[in-house]
Amino acid sequence: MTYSTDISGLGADHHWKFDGNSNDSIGSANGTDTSMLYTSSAIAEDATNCAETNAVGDRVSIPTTTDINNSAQARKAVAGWFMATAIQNPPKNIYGEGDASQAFRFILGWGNNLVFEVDDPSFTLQIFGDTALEVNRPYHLCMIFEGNGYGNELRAYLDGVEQTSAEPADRQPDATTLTARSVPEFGDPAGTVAVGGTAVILIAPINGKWNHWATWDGVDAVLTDMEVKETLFEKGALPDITISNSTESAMQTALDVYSSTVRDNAPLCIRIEDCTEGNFSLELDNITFNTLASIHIQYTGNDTLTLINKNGSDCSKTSVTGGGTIVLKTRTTLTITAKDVTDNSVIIGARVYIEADSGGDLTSGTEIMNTTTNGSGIATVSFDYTSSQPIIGRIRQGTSSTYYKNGIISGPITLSGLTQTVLLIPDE
Amino acid sequence: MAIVDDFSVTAGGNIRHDSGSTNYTVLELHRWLQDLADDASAVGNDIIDITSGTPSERSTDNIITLNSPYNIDDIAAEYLYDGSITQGGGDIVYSGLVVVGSLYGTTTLQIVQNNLLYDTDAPFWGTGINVDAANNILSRMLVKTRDAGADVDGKRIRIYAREWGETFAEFSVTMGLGNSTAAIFTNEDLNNQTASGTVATWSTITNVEGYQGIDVDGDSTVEYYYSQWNRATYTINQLYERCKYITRRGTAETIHTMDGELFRGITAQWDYDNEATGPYVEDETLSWGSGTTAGTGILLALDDNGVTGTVWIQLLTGVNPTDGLQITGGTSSCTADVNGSITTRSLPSVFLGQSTGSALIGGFGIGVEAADLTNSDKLFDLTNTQRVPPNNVTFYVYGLISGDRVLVTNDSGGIDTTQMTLSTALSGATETAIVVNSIPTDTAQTGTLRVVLDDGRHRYIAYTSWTGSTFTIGSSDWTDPDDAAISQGVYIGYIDKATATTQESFTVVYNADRTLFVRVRDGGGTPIKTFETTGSLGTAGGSTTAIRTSDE
Repeated sequence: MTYSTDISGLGADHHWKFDGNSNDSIGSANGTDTSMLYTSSAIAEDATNCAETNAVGDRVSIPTTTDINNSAQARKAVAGWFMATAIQNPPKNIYGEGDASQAFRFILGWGNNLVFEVDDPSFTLQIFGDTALEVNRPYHLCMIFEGNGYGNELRAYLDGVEQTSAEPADRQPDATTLTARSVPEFGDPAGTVAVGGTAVILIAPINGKWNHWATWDGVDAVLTDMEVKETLFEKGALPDITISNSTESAMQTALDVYSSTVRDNAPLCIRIEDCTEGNFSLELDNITFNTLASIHIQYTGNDTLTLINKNGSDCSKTSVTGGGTIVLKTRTTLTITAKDVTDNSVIIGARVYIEADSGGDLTSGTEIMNTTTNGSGIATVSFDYTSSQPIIGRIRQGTSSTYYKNGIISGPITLSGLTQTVLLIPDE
Repeated sequence: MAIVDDFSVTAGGNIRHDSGSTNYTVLELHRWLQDLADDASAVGNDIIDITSGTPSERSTDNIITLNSPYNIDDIAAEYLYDGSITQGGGDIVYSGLVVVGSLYGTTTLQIVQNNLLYDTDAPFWGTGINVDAANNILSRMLVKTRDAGADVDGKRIRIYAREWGETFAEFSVTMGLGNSTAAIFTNEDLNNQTASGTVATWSTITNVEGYQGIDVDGDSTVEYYYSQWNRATYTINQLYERCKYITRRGTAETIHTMDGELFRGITAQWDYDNEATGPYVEDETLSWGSGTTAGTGILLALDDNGVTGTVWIQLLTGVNPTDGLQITGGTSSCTADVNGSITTRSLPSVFLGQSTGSALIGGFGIGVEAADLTNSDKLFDLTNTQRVPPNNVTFYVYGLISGDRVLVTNDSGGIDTTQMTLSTALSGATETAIVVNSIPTDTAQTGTLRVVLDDGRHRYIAYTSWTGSTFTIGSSDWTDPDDAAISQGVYIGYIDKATATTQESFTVVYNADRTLFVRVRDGGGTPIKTFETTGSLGTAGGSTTAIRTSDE
């Protein structure tokens, strides 16, 4: 299923793919371009190119349409992909409907900070993005309006994450509808518009890029958080790296190429396709991710992919788009030292045993560690941590003198593993 | 073979002995279990490894606890020694027993617990198990002393050595954790040399059980005992052997309704009052108390005085009662309260007492028919007073035939007619007493006298008793001419009769050697010349044999 199909599957009324033109692939509100370019690479899935503005007056105008702008709307949603190629100096219009009096607008403000705004004679609502848009990094934007006959709120999303810093803070329009507005425009508005209820002149981003913008009206406009995140954002995000479908071993080899790297701020860092062998595991060997990256790893298959962070890897944001599951683990080390309580000497050859207790991810009784201490009295084992794991652990040395009484290892196993010195009491 | 070959452990914690005859210390058991418990995974039939709960704990090398569900059974316990095993959260304890000492010959020690033989007449330890001769250790084994959460008779046991032909011995011990020690010493019993099969035929040796009055010391007053043994035709030492036979290891005999192997004798006595629904019945089991004051005993002798009395018992289980505790009869349902303190009694190794080979030193309360005793024997009555039988000596005159007239008197060169002299004249028509100057102490309580009358005749008179200087006679006429004045002679006719048999005898209590004058005459169908001689009555009695010289 293509990304375009996913969008239409959510009941969008209009969809401008911007893959070579500004045609409406669902409705008939084809856009009119003013100096738009379609030569740059797409910034989202299911497109080859994107719409681009490189001059202040560039725009795509959408014909006035009842279910977009030309009516009072009790429920409305607009979403799409946008990227700026530079920090914008004056504020820019990403998408907007209306003028200085009533508007529905995505604004790129100073320092590339986002403002999601609706204006009406009876209210002005602004939601502020929590992250300045990094240049040359695509973002998915979404804004949803519900009048007080429905949810009575304005919601805004950045890469599928709801933005909640708003003015007023309650984000409530307290009005039945959003008054009809003037035509929708991508880029430079033809007329005067408003920001915060105050008339300003907005122009097109330089450069600004767009893919896959869609509008909803009515019940379909009330998109859920999950629909915004998992369908509109995650399914449209382009990966920096793709680990293609193959055997587990081959996919591991492919992934190991990126060991000891730091992945950039991106909507999607690594996409992992399905494995030919069903459920599979891959280790991330010292792969770290920019904290602003929206998805670290995405799995597109329908099996279970176990991802193991090791050697400092910090993958934490995952996405599944094919019905499968990602089990995220962190490889930790369990280090148990056995010593004699009387003289603190190390105990060699003691049996160290740890099993899972109830209350964790592992089935109670699952053996975690069953080995003996080495010449330094130490026994270690690797453990792939998912969540805090209660344990039952013990140490015994009853085969040869010096004999010891049973020692207890206490848990749980945490993200940092388990390091413990157990003092054993001689049993002779 | 090693312990791993002889024992196995199931997944459920059952530690069982599978094969072999080797015994192991409790510490070896613990070490073996711990050795298994640090294995990566279980192998074979020993299902313990690192994944298992800790099977055992060692408090000391001799005190081991098995953590639930690990457990041994009674069979497995037979192959363990030198310490204790506690299991089931403390509900079951096998205590370690060490028997030290020395035994004569091949001896099978017995253990009595809760008035029962532990593991029957043929116990698993046989004639000795886990012996350490260098340290005088006769046997070491485990004894179950707590079961199902309750101590077995307060963890008390008694070890017996009752082997035929050897001295008997016993030792009482209260067991606990670790090892408890008992000491047993036996030797050859030189007074028990008869084959047991022979002693088995001595069934005419009998006993009257219960409270018995016997005048053992011949003072005309009975003392009381809890038995009255009759040795029949057997010697006093044979009586001793018979009593050993009844109580030896493996006996099938019973005494006081008990298995002879369990019989010991009187261990305690007390006075009682407030008797109700009485009386008690001898040989019934008495019971008292509860918990730590509980006990049972078999009633061996009863002196019942209505609502009060005295009982003598052998303690069977528990502890002796205390003042005020109510005692209940198991058969009679009689109840009474202990009145005063309990008196405990020490036991001889053989309940009858000690044999010197020819005499008996009786155990407390043991009674024997007076006629079966000699002056060498010593008995102790139920007041624990020593009673010594008088030295009864017998003088025999043999060689008689029916119709002979036999006269035996004190000798003074012939008949000692002035053995005694009258202090009071005999002249009345109804004299009932003969008072003399002094009656010899070895004079029999009943017998005959000759009184020298004033006219010279020697009058025959029987007496029924004497005391001091007075003989008691039946009322008789001593008027003239059958009178006798003061200072007339009186002498004892030790034998003064016409015999109807071939021997005559008399028995007196020996005081000092006495020379006797013996005369035998027969003037009948086969007359003989008068036979006269002297004889000596000593500490062993005496005898003489008439020489029959025909007078035809």
